[in-house]
Amino acid sequence: MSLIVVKSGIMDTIQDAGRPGNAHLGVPVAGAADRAAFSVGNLLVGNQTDTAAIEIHWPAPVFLLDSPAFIALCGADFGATANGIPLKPNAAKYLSGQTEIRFGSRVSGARAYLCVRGGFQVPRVAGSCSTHLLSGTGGYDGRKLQSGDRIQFDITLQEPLVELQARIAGLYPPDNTIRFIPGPEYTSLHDHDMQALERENWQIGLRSDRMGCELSGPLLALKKTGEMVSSAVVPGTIQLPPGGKPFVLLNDCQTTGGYPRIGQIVEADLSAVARLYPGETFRLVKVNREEALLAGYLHRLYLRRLAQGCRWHMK
Amino acid sequence: MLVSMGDELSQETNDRVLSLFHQLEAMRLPGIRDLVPAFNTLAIILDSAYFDREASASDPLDLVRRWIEQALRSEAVSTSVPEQICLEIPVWYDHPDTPDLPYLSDLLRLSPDEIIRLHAAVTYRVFMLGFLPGFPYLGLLDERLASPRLARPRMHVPAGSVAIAGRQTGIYPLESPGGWNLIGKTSVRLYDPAGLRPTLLRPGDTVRFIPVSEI
Repeated sequence: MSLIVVKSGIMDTIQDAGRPGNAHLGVPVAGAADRAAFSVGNLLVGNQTDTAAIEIHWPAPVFLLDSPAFIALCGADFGATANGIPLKPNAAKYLSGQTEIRFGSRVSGARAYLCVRGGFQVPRVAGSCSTHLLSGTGGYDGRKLQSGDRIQFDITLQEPLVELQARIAGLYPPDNTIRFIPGPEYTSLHDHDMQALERENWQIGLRSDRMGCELSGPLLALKKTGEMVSSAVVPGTIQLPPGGKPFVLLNDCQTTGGYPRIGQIVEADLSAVARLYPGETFRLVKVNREEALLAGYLHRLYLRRLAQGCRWHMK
Repeated sequence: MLVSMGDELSQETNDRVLSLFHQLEAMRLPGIRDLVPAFNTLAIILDSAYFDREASASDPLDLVRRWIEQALRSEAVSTSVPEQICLEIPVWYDHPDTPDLPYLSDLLRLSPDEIIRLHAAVTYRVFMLGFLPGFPYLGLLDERLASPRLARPRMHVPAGSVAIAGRQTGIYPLESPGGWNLIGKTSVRLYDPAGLRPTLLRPGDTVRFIPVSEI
């Protein structure tokens, strides 16, 4: 049983929950950038939340299923159809063999996750199926999907599952207000730039990929300049390169960096950054550590409730 | 959580970082997702979901502070430091792919042979890995070889390039962009994602470069 890439998209990769535990070797964590949508997609097809899925960017690919499958598309709405019939976003669906999945237009979001019951089968590298493109690690031959690729999946359904649709809005902060805690070099910002960080509208720039995204807005500056000694960075770190444009790191980012770290997006809001498409705007709001921890707790609680709901309906 | 062990870039500061790193690693603590040692800092990346279940720990940082204190106390009786390798890496200096030796010779007012001799004379320590999987930041380079990064980074540095910048030397494990001065090339593989040991080097290992005329 496999999914065939009929026509490749701009950047589609196999991703799971990433490979933490290797950062001291310089090996990036990788993994699904919109972790919330990825997790929900897996829940909808009855998988563990860390099962390998396909992360799809816009422009999107064309897929063909060569056998029946129970799938879910979650996250961005790219106007998906199955043999011409619209597929609901954030919903599970049984599809018969010889079904073509196409994406008609970008309605919302930046990254969609195609999850399949049983998960896509690629070799695990350092414990994970995630693709890290720059180093050619993991995923499907360490690269993005190309026309003609066949990705195996293993459908072992004991009983039919219910086609559920999830309400996922609660997994993202309202009004694109993204919370951050001050980074180690936050206090090196001028006072007026600290204020600008929270007052201005920020826009996801065109320089945007799985490594990170540049933010368009006012240029920021530091009180003192000079080379910083390289130190750890993680997805969600907001760096300030010399040009003055903040840069938010995402899942494929390096493990260490030399640019000042002015902030750290809270874990609960990282998926919200990953679903913003270049040109979309958002606000940044500073929170303290306690608020960040609470936000994370509530985020995980919401996800657990969704998981319970899915399991209850599938019984 | 970021633990800073001193401001200056020195062997002693990095000793403290790596000692704490090895201790915490050996303690196999639950709730830690990643430990990232760098020159003078150790980042402790927590698995926040773990602390959801730890109702007793009102603040994860309190628990982490206790772990660190415990690790620092047990330093004196350290038996936990993993076996560190001293690796000899053959280098073809002035390889056609690594063309910066003549430029450095002018800049540093040293003959190419003298640069090679000074570079190969030191046993280097892996201060940290970063930038790319398996990229070792090695130090400290002889003062006389200290040189600035390129003003315009190259778009393509070949895999295996041995390079210097500041008081550091390193090896590019993969083809990538890069701003260091390229002085030689090795065929030693530093990153093998599917291998049992994905990166050849680990923090704290030591390296010597052996000049060879072919690789």
